[in-house]
Amino acid sequence: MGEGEEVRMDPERAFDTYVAARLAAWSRVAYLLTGDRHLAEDLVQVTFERVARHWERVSANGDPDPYVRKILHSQHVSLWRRRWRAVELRAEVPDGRPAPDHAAGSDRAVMVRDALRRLAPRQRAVLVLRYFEDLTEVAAADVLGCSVSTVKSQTRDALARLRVLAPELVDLVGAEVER
Amino acid sequence: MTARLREMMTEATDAAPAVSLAADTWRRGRRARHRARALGAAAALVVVVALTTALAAPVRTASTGPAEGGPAVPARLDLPWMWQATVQQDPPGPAAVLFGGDASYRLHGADLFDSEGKLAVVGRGGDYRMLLYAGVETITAGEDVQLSPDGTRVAHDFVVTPELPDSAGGLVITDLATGASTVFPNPAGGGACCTPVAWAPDGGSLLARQYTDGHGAARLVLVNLADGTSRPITGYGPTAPLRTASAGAFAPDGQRFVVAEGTKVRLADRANGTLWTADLGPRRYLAGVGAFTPDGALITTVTLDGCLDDCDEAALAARRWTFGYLDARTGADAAGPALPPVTGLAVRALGWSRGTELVALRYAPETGAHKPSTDPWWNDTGWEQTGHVMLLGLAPGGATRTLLDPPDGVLNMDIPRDLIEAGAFGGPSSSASIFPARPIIWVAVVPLGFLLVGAGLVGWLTFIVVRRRRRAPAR
Repeated sequence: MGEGEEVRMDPERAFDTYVAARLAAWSRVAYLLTGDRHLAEDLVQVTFERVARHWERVSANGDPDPYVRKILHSQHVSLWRRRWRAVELRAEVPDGRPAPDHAAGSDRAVMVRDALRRLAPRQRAVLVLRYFEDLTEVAAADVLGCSVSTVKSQTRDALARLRVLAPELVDLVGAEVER
Repeated sequence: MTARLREMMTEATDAAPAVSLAADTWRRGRRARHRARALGAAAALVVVVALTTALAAPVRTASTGPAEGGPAVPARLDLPWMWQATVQQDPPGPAAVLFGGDASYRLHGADLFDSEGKLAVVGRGGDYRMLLYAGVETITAGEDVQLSPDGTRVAHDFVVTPELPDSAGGLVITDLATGASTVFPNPAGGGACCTPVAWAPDGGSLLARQYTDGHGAARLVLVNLADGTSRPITGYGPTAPLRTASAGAFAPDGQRFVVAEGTKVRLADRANGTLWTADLGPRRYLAGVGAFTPDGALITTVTLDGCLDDCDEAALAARRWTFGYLDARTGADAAGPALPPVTGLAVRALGWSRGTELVALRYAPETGAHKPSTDPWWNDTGWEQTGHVMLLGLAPGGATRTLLDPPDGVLNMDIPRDLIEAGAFGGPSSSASIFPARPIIWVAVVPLGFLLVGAGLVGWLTFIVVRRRRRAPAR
C-alpha cells in the first residue's frame, strides 16, 4: 500500500486497507508480547479500536506504524495491569479460528514463547522491540516512553532473566546471553 | 546472540495461529471518538457555566426580611474585591448602601498601585462598585461622603476620576447611574471645598462645610444644585472641635435645618436665617442627619452617660446613649418617643422608618482605642476611632433590632433616606462579583498565575517520577 494514498482516501477505506496490509505483522508482535493466542487477539483488537478512534492523527504523516506500535505496547502494559478482569473485549467470535496453541509451531518455538512469557511485560517488550522488530535503543525508548538507559538496563536484565528462568535456551542462544 | 534470538522469535511467530479482527472495529473506534468528544464538550460547558456563575454574576440570596419586591437595604453585606470596578467604570445605578472601612486591600489600599481611601457602593441590583479617594484612608461614608435621599447621587469634596483634574476644588456630585461627576466650585475660591453635611430631603440642595483659608476655618454654605449657587449661612462660626456625626440635619419640609456649633445648636430657615439657638451642654449632641422626627416637630438629641475624657477601650465601649428631644419651634426640651438607649462608642441617627422607628448606626471602638482628655482630632465616629459599625432599628417602647451587621472591617455606612422611610430592610443580599475589574486585578492575577504554574510544574514532576518508578525494571 502506498503510504501517501491512505491519507487521501476515505478514512474508513484507508483504515481497512491498512488493517489488511499490516494485521498479520502486528498480530505476530502481539503474540510475542502476550504468549497467548487469545490474549494476542484481544490486544490487537483494542489496539485497532484505538487506532480507528484517532485515525486522522495516526495517518496524518503517511505512516501509521509508529503510532500503532506505541498503542500496541501501551495497551499491552495496560491490559496486563488490568489482568483481564471482567473485560469482554470482543463483540463476537471471529469465524475460522485456528487450532489451539499447544499444536502451534515446533518445540523450539514453544520454548521461546514460554520463556518470553516468564518475563515481566516491560522486559518482554524491549526484547520484542530490539530483536524482533529490530528497532534501535533510541526508537525502542521512544515507543515505551522511557529513557535509552532504561531500555539498555531492561534488555540486560531480560536476557539475564531468560538465562535463569529458561536455561534450556542458553544452548540455543549461546553464551552471548550471559553478557 | 541477537541474530539467533531474532531467528527464534520469527520462528515462534511463524508457527503462531492467525489473529483476526472484529468486523466492526472501525465503528467501535469511531463511536468511542464521538463519546469522548461529547463528554469533553459537556465537561467544558459545565466548567464555563460554573466559572461564569461563580465569577461574573453576583450571587443573590433570599430575602431575610420584609422587603416586598421593591428596592431594599440588603440583609447582609459582602466586602468588595481589591480590584472591584469603580462607579465611573460601570455605574451601579441607585445605591442601597454606601460603606467604607479598614479591611485591607478591599476597603483600604495603597496609593502606589491602588487607592488609600475607598468606599463601596452597593447598587439596588446587587452590584458592588467603588469610589476612590487617593491619599485619604480616613474617608467615611455618611459623613465625608453622603448618598442623596433617593440614592441616585453621591456628594463628596473630591473623588478620583479621569474626568476631573486633581486640582478641581468644589463640591463634587457623582451620578451613580452614569458615573459622571459635576463640580460646584468653591465660592470662596481656591482650596478644598465643601464637605457635605446634610442633603435636603428633595435632593435639590445640600448643606456643606466650606473651608475658607485651607487651615480648617470653615463656614456652612447651602448649595443649590439646580443652578450651582451657594449661600453662606449667616453667623456660622464653629468654636469647638467638629463632631461630624452631629454637624447638621434638614427638617422634612426642606425649608428648615439645624446645625451644631460647639455645644450649641441653631435652627435656621432658608428665608429668614436663624430662628433660635440652644445650648446642649458638654454631653448632649444633635443625633445626626436623621434628627428631625417625621412630622418635623421634634429634633432628636443624644446624651452621653459614661466616659467623656481619658477613656480606654472598655470605657468607650460601655458608653450609654439616651435619646431626648428639642421642640423644633422653640428649641426647648420636649417629650417624645421613648427610644431604647444604645451602648457603644457613639450613635448616629440616619432617619425614621415608617414614621415610628429610629434608624441609627451604633459605633464600636477600635481595638486599643483611647480617648485622651484633650485631643482636638478625636471624633466619636471617626475612621481611626471606630472598630465596627452596626445598623439598628430603635422602636418606641424599648425594642431594638439589628437591621444590618456588616462584615468585620466595615467602619461606616450610609443608607438612602427613601429606603429608611419605607422601612425597606432585609432585602436580597449579593456577593461582590470579581468582574468587572479595574486593571489592578493583574497585581493579584500575576502572582496567582505564578503559583498555578509552580503547582503545575510540581504536579508534572511528580507524575514523571511516579511514572519512572513504575517503569523501573523488575528485580
